[in-house]
Amino acid sequence: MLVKLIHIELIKTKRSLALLMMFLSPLMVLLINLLQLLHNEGKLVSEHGWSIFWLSNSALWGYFMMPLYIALITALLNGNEHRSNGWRFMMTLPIKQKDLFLAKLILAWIYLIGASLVLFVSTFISIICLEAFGVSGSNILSFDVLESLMYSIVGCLTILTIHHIVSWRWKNIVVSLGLGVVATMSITQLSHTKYWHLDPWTYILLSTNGSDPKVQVLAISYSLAITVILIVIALFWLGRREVSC
Amino acid sequence: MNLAIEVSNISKKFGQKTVLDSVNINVPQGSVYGFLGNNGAGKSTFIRVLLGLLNANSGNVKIHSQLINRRDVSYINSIGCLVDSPCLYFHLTPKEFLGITCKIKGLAKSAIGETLDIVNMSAHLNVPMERFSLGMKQRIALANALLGKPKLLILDEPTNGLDPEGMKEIRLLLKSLPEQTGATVFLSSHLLDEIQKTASHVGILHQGKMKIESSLSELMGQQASSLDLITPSAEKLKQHFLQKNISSELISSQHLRINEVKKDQCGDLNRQVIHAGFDLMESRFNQATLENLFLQLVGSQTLEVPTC
Repeated sequence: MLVKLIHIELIKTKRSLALLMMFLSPLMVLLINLLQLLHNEGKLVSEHGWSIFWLSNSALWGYFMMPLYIALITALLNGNEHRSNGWRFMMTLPIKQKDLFLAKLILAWIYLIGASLVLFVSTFISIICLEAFGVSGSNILSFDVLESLMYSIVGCLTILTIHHIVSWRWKNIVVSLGLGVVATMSITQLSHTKYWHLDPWTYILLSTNGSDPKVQVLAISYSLAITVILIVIALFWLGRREVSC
Repeated sequence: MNLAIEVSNISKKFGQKTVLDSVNINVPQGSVYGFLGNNGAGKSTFIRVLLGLLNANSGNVKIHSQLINRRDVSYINSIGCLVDSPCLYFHLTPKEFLGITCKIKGLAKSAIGETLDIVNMSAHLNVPMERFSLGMKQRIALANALLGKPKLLILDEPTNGLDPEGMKEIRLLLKSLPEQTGATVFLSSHLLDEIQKTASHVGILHQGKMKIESSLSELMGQQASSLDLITPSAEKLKQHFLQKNISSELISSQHLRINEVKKDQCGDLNRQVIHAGFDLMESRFNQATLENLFLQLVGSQTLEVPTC
């Protein structure tokens, strides 16, 4: 049933902004870094190789765009139901709320993986193009960045679950987006302090932190553990909750 | 008697407010059951309890003899429903939207075309529903309820937004379903005329309590019809009828009403008036209607009608 529901949720995103956002969000990150690269005429690449370009893309993605994209995609997937009395429609079919909750969460995660892959592939394509235009450097393909992107996909699970719960519960999209913006700002304040573990929004950035493997492992572990706890609480809550529509 | 829906002592409170108060309903299999009530009577809440969308504070619901339980949702497979306003994903086409129900209920995709034919919407199979009028959306919602020929249809105001022609089509369709497919139709509405034309059984909910539940023919049989006679000398006519042991009621100096009259007695009564030399300006037979009964029941708080 879960696979069926994921497919149904995917159908529901037809003609919505979900697919467009999956491409636009990482491409915005790429565009910002490309403009910066062109601004200093590729000198940084000549000095440090393409690693600097790869890193700046993945850092901006993890620091800023990924948390916002999570807020957007979860608000979009749940907003579909809020707008169309969809909760009532879905709950008059032989499915359980718990399954629907998990299906939407998994689909949001799939979109997130898709967006991360778009970032990776588009970065690689832009490097190839820039090489063709004469900007050259070492490390054209960075598997380290691919690895850190994969860690960030696990590191983001906690805030993905938090945003999913928020946008499932609250109809107003401002609640989810507001939380996303405010919490994203907290990353800059807390990610370098000893209290980083108190802010799940820092887990994305720190799970990609290759310079401190201990923190990296901790961030991924915290993310996984808190996600499991949140999902268990949410499923218990959904089992008791009526469909108030 | 086999029951499609059996509801025992359902009560539902929202905070301190009692919305449903020990409601009992028995819907015979193969019937078209008209569920009537004013706005705010608790009809939609009752339907939500029936579908397991809301939990009742007490009582239980059996559908096709199976006690409903939100943990086991298999019973919904045999139900098609339309609750309140149509719940559609407007950016989807009818094909995509109905495909959701087909996929979850495990129905063949051919069911989509068949059902859209029934509601006359097959020409719009691939058009996004955001371009549809309210009536068209209602038809799609109805098509969704009809998908897979469910054994029980629960419809809340199914003719909302439909034009008179559409209302007639849906009425005829719902009326024919029990015979064609053996389905039971539970129809909630405040359109009394529609219910009278469609239903075989009726239940009236008022302020969260069941006022009456019966077959429509039985209910109408209990209701007295009347004959209104308009004549310049109504008082003299009243005396005339009194001599013949026919009781009547003087409404005004020109208006006399004879109560508890059957339609086939009207000709004889009219003849009597004319033969007695009275000028008969108008004779009007007042057929007992569901509307009269409904107004009697919900208009009088002291009226006691036994519930079934």
